[in-house]
Amino acid sequence: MIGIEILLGLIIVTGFVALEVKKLRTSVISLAAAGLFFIIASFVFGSLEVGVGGIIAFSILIPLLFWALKQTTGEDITIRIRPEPNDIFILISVAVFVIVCFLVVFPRLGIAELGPPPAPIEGPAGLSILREVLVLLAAAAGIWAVIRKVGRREK
Amino acid sequence: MMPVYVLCAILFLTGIYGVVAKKNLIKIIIGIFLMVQSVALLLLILGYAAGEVGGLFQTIGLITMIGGLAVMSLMIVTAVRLHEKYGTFDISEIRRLKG
Repeated sequence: MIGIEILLGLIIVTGFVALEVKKLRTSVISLAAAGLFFIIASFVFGSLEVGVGGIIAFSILIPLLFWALKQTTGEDITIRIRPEPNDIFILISVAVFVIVCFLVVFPRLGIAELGPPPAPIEGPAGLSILREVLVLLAAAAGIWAVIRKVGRREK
Repeated sequence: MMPVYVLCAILFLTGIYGVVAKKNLIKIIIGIFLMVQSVALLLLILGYAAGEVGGLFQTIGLITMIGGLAVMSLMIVTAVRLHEKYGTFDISEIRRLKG
């Protein structure tokens, strides 16, 4: 499972770069790279459903982010080169939280060890796809409601 | 402890760091999406470890991704509307959240 660990590491690195870079377009490109690694990891785990879901998610989300940046601004003016003491405190708090989680909570859950890939189980795929399409249609309706110009009450 | 679970937790924490420490709305949205990704990956790994490829874990992972996509899309367009109103993505500048 070394390949999976490398893929997860790459997702973390690209995700961190997406958060830390100053130019927002670079940030979105980095998020797209994280998405690509996520999709590859899904297929490596033998999950076709999640892999296709990831392709759909990122093929909608990345153009939407680019559209949002085209409408607004391409630079993160809030980013600082040097972190403040508050940022370091947040990082340390999060790290302590993780350590406590791993030492106390996770061993009690009894998480299974990874072994060879099991055989896939066939299920009713049609209903699942319909459900996801309904969710996406609801999201599209919500997006239209937010960005529409006609019919909006303006002061 | 299994390294893959640790890596999933680190990815989740990277997302938490983005939500807590960043002031740019787009970065916060990216942070939330990283958290969604880590949860979907954790579900994949748990399903794989339990020997359930194509089973319950995979379905929940797919729902997580699609639901996350819907929420992220709405957050992005809301951020655009906020930028139209306030002229910035800086959440410390966006204070009057009423009406």
